[in-house]
Amino acid sequence: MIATSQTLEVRRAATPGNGGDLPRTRDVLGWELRRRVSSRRSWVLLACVALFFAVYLVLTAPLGITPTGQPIPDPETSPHGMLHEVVVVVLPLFGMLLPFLAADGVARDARQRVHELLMATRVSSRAYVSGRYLAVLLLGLVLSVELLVVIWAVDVMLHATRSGYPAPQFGPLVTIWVLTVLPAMVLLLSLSFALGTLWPRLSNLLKLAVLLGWIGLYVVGAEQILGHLPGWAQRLDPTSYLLYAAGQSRAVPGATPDPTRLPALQPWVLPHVGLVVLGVALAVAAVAGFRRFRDVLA
Amino acid sequence: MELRIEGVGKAFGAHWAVRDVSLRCDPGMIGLVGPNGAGKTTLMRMIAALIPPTRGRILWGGQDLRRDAMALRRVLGYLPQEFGVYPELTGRRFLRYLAAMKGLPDALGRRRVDELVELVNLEGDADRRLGGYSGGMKQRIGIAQALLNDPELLIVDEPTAGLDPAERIRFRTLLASLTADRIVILSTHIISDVEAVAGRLVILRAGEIAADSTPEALIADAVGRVWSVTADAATAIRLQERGQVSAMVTDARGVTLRLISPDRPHEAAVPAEPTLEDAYLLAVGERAGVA
Repeated sequence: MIATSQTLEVRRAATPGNGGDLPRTRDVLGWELRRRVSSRRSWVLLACVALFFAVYLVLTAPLGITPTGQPIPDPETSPHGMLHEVVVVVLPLFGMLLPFLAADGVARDARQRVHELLMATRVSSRAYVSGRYLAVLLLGLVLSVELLVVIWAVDVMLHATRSGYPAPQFGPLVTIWVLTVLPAMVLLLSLSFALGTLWPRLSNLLKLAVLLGWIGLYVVGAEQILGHLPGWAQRLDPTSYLLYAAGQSRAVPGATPDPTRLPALQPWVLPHVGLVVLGVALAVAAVAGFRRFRDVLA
Repeated sequence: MELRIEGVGKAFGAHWAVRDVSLRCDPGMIGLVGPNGAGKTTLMRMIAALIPPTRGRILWGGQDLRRDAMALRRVLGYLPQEFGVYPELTGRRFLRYLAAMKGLPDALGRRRVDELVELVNLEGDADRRLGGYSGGMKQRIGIAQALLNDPELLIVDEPTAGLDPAERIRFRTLLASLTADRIVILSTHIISDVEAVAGRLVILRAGEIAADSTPEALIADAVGRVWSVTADAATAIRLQERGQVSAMVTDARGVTLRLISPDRPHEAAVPAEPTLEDAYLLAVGERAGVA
């Protein structure tokens, strides 16, 4: 009944040497993305994130005129205003979302009992975890790009509808986004993913721990935590609040007091690349530490 | 194509779920039966390289799974007793996903999935989301995924659970048609399923092999130890304490019991033709000191 003309072809496809980790990683990535795209929940999340941040940005943007009738000193559409918008308004909340996006990248399979089916296939542990990590990273990137578009759209709208808001410049906004949102995103996603992958039974608890850690950085304040460290170490602040503070001439002496100009960004580039590298290192640790012989089966 | 299990044991903490199991499996169907908690699922997971044995070794084609589990996974079809699906995917997409994980190229995977969807009688529902599937339909998806790579070693744990009688027979027949060029290990509680298709029966009890034989030999061993007796209700209750009851029918004449006992349990008892179910109860019961 089952012995068809395909039999030999199917068995040949299963022979050693047919593909390696890279094609399997691509398969895992591709199918995880298809699965996410097939899920209504993903589209609802995208829509809710866009709507929430659009409303939030509009509501938190000062009206164009101060109570004394003067133009606002630091409008959100100026380069420094955009830094405030991204670092102080958007990034704290976006960061809180990321553990929930990433911690279950692998852990969900164990919870949904798909793990046993997948682990009985020929997909290697490396390909499986790497593919899932890349999928999580790509989804985070999609969300962050969506945020970039929302910020830009809100800024354009503010400029068009409120007095005192200069025309937003896309270049500085993208620069800020690349320098602040991307490293924080990679670090938080990777940390959450690694913890959830290595301890899948604790993934909910670990999500909460990362979330609280992120909130703690804001509550205690990056300046309090990192302020006594050398300058390069201060620039490792994933919240980028110290970068914003530099623009406010509070943290770094010599920073420009001009709110329409960004502070010097160059000293922050390398430390923030370091945050990305740290994130990738965490993902590599998750790949290496993943236990295929899962104790959830015990 | 040979599977060897040598002195395998698995401990979870201080509890040994499987102890010192040794088997040699050649192509054909092996029925693995035993009471709940006998260690069937643990043994199958070890054979499927999902959990490592605490002691002993499992060899596929002479290769120890601890050293090269991938060689086995390439040719493995596995249907766990309980498994989940991605509810947001359709049945067809889920199978294509697993086909990709099993290393089938996309075009071949599509053709294979189409064929298997037809084989498990899901053509009409394959493009519906799995979230809306019934337990039986989900089970058929599980069966289909186990066959995607045309496995040389097929391990199925309670495959007919949730299937209606017609589907059960259909699947049983399918399994029987697969045994010519592969090793099929079928674990089930339903003795009639094993009887219909398995040429070899391994009975596990408390993690150990209680019997490893053919169904015919097991039945032959039970000859003279299965009895039928019709008695009144009070006697029937007393008889139940003296031997293991494999069947009981109450009618106008009284209670007719089918008893498994090494000795004649009652002067009215007459020897009965043993079935595989009787033989199974005997094998399991003997070890427990019941019979």
